[in-house]
Amino acid sequence: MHIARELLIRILAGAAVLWAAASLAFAILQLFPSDPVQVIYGADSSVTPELRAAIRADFGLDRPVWEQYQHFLARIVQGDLGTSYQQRRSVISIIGSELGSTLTLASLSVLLAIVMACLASLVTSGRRTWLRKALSSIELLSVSTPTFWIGILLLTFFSFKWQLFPVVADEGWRSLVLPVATLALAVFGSLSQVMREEMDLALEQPFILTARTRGLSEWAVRWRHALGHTLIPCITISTETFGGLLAGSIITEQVFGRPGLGRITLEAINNHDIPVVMGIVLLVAFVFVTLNIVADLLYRLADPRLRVSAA
Amino acid sequence: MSLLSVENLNVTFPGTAAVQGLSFSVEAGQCVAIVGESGSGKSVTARALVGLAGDNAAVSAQRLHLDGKDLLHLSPGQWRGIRGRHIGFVLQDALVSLDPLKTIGSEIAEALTEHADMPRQDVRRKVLDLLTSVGIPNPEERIGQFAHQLSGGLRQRALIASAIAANPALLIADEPTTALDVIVQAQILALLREMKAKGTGIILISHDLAVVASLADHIVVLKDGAVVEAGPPSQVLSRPQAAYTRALLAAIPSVETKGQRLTFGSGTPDVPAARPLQDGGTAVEARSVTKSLGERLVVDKVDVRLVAGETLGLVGASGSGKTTLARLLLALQQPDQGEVLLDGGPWSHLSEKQRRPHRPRLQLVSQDPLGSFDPRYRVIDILAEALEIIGLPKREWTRRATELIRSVGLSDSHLLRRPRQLSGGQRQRVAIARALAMKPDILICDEPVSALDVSTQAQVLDLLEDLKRQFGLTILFISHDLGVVHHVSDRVMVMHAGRIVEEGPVGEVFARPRDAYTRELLAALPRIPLSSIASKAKGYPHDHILDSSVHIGA
Amino acid sequence: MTDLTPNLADPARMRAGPGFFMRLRRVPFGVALAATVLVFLALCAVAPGIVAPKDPYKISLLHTLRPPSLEFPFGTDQLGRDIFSRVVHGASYSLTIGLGATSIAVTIGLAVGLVAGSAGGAVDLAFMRVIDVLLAFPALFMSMAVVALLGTGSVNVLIAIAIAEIPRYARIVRSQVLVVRTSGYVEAARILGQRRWLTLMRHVLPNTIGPLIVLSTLGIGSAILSSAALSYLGLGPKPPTPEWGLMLAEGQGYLRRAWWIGVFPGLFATLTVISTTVLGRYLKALSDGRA
Repeated sequence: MHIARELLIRILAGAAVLWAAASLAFAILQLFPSDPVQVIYGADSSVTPELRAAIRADFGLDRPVWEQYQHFLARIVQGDLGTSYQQRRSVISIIGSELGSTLTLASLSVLLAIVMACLASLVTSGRRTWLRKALSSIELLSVSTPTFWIGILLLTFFSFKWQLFPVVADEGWRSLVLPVATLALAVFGSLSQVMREEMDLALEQPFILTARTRGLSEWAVRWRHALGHTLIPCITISTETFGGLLAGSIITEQVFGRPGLGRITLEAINNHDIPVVMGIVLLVAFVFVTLNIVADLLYRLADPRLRVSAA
Repeated sequence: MSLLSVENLNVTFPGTAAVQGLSFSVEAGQCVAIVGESGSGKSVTARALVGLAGDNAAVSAQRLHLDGKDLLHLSPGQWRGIRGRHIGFVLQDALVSLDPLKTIGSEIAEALTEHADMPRQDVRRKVLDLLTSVGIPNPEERIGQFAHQLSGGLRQRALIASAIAANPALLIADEPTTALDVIVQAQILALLREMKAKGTGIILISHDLAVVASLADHIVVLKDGAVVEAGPPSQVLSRPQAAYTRALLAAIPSVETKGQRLTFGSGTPDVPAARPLQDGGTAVEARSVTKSLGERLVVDKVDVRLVAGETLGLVGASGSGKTTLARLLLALQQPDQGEVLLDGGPWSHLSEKQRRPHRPRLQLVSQDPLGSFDPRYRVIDILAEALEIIGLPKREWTRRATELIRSVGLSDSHLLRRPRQLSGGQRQRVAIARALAMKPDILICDEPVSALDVSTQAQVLDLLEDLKRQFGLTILFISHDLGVVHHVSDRVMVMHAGRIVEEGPVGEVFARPRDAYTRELLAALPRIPLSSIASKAKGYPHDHILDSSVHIGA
Repeated sequence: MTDLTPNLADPARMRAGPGFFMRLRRVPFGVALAATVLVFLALCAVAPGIVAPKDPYKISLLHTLRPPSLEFPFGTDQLGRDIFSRVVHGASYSLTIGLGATSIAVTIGLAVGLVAGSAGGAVDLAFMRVIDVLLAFPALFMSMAVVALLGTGSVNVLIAIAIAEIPRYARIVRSQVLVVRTSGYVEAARILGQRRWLTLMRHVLPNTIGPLIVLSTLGIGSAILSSAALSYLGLGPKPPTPEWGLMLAEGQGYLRRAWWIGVFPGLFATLTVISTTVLGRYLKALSDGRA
């Protein structure tokens, strides 16, 4: 009962954020107006004033701002994100056709990064070994290296030099390996750092000593007791970076020439295709809001103390 | 043959010897207590006995036998077979000593299944039995709960249940009651006594001689890793041989120490009263103040009258509302209802701006002095800030700061240190010096000695007493420790669940408590045989009076 | 005893104190190395001609795609330009954008966070809701959106990155202000009867700015990463500017034949960011009292 009510509150709050994001984007576009005619016909001066007016009316740009805003919100609520200036297709269908590819890339990368970070902290936490030093150097590299450079390096050596993986993007799972590795490496650093710090802290807690005095092996202590305490920061960072990965995928897709949201975003930005940019802005905000709600639910699963105090 | 025999145990960390030449033995059904202040090596000893002194610790001994089995040359795997199975271990404060993410049922089951393969059904039944045996009611319900859902007492019982799950012959309890209120502490000690009677050997680690007194058959007093005294309680507590033990016993505040100095060897000093003791008038008064924090009613229609020149003790368990009451008196928070008066004039009803000129008169000494200092400041900056506020000209600051730091028993060189570089006792002295810099009339001391060792506590209590006489201070002294409150107070108030349940002259309340809660509180106090204190106080040689006993602070 | 004058008015001395040079000697090797790298990069940014005398723009079709050699330490690109020269000249872009964007973001973030944190109530609530909405967008995405509005180019990239970083700094400042305002020492100042603005100047402000400066050192690295990414995507400066991200984008088609085109600009970017990160973490450890 409590959970349901809280979930409802969270969803309403999320809707408010979405509304605010949409309004903000709308307001900013009023300050920096863009002209569909310019986008469609470029600098072609042969466009007659009549045609220009017709096109503008087509996109509803001839109406008063307030009316445009109402219309804009009404369409969003109905799930209609408008029509691309460039492609004359609905924004929903453009995004829809590319979303799958990007989501696959982002989810696989986050999963891989989580698994690697868990392993890294299980093995190296609370110890002063060469392995720990090596791993923390990798983490430092991971957070300090431009994502696209990791991609370029992987491409140069694994595809061109050693020809282990395909260069082109359409060879099934094999063409996913390098992009996923690129993004996962980028996420791994920050995830692993925080998780290990958290596990270091957990390993110093009295309850770990208690577990040891029961005769548990080192591995059992880490696996059964310490790992659970890294889950909260793990959830926070993974859900936060998952949103970031949508942006990160823009770069990765560019490096590996993959289809996906990245490519359409870049095209839309370069072409001032405002409805598409707007659609992607809303999509990113939607993903953020949804992930926040999911993270909240996951927190409760991970830590029983949050189940009571939040009620 | 002894259950555990330890001969010449040494534990060293790189650069320091934590434990040196410790020898003792534990018999089945007996309790050995290891007592010492922080840094004495008592916890290191406990951990060394289960092979968990740490990777950088070197443990050696002439003999370390458990039930005839040599523990000195065990492999990590063999140690795991000993831990839990042959030696159980209980830490202080089960809230952090039980994994907060696991149910207490699974924590206890873990101790069971680690040493024996057992069908699921049997595990559950055994866990329920264990919960019952440590006195947890409704075990069926509790087995699925988490540590944070249990009260402090039940949690500690659950922790003990997990330690004795595999039925070890020896139980090591490291400060098992330190985080608990007096009443719960008495219950846990009774549980340990019960287990002793059933034949379990117990090693009890504590900083508190009074806690140990009721349970131990043999007491080892440690200081800086070395044994200063060892023997049966009748000797250690009543006829202590070592000067350190005598000082430790003398430092424990109680009825008998009232009007005496706690620091060993010094009599009552003749500090001249610089200002005549004020008396009679009301310094601070709270009239029927009520305060809720969130949904919880923390202070419930409380009346306080702090008479000028007196020390008023406020005693109560944690969560009883003592600190909130102090904050109301300091006007750091506003009461929901009622009013606080200063010298009979408005105080809580004033605006902060109107209050500001009067703030210096009412100063606070809190439990956590470190948090009350700006981390960027040195001691002299901390004092100078106070001196600036009372309007002392800048050229006088150094002189006055030196005066202040000396008056709290520190030296000039401390002025240039940062609080982080000082010990707990020194920090508390700096906090007192800052309060004194304001030339206050009234000092509110909120658990000022709770975080300190007994001997440091004795020094700070003596200092407060000296300063009170010297400056004619009025003191509200808040503590959970009845012994401390008894020692320092003229009058005492007992607080319970947001209300003052009893109030009166300190001797009367402690001798003839009227309220049921006060009676329970006093009955739960651990006792030390009277003779040692009496002999110290009166300068008698160690002797007689073993039959009577007194209440001692926890 | 003459040294005992309270120096409330002299915070600089208070922080440095006696052990300053002693502490300098105990600086870990990695940190010293990072500082050296940064000094070298600063030199590259200020006087690239001294480090690399060759013209970074000079096209030479006789020398295209030469591998690293004594003459061309980093090789040449598809137009025969000296990659070493180009990489050295590129330092000024990255450092300017990193420092510039971070200082703008920190300044505005500090102002917003201070106002929100000290005002409290409705002002705080309103500020934070706006920040919450802005934080819904990943920093890189946000700066891309800003570039989409303002148009491409170095200055716009700087502005875009600054705007994208503001919400993070604002949030950090605000929470730090709240921590300090409810701290024991601010309460202690109140009990002493210190005036509110004096407490704000003496305790709240310094204890908020200290950690912020440390964090912004770490922020410089991420600003440099963002600017390289934007340039790589073609949203930053235009060719033939020797910007690291742009060089990688331009050279990507020749990776099959010339690995050095893809390696050296990225290496410099990574070295820069690692160095600021190492330095920033060391400063953080110092201010947390861990080093």
